[in-house]
Amino acid sequence: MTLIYKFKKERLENGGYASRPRILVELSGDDGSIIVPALIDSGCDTSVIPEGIAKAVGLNMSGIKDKLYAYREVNEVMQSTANITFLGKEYRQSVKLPNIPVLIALAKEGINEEEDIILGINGIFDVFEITFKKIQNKIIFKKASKEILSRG
Amino acid sequence: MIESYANYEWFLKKDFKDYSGKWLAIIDKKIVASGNDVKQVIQRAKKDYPTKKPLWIINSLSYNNDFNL
Repeated sequence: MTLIYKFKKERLENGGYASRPRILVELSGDDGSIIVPALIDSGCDTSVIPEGIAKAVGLNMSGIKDKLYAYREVNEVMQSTANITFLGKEYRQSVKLPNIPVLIALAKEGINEEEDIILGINGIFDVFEITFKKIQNKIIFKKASKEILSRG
Repeated sequence: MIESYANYEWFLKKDFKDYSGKWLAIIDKKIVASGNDVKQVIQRAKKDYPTKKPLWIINSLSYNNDFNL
């Protein structure tokens, strides 16, 4: 099963542009689901979900509190899990991954936080072989065979 | 093609500069709700389009740091 996504050219405040790999996913929790174009990040250990989104879909907010270290900054996070469905052009192409470990980025009072969902390695790169083809504007998700998965 | 994928393809081409920092709900390639509070935007879209599954985005133009890690 192969899913193909694209980079989105996004305008920056400094007037420049950045091309970001946007992946169409449905995030589900106890209270519902939302469909979002999430960022895929091979440099991120575990997927990160902003607190506002986590609460909106009803993710478990009683997990262990932890810290997420990024470049010269630290964020408060909470361990949780989410069901993430990778959506394709057709329904039959979609791949649902249940109980993916995630970190919920806890909001800081009075600060407008970044609201993107970041898809990290844990639980996702174990299931898909992911190929970035920037020149062709493609990000290819190929679900690994059962044989490869059993080796993992 | 499923509706959400059609919305995704529309999203990839669209410039959302007029909606800086806001949550957007997209249905049938149209912005049907927007606002700063994700819960309120979800409630509004669900009320107006109870049978639809919107594509939700936040416009990244709002971020103070221009480049992501």
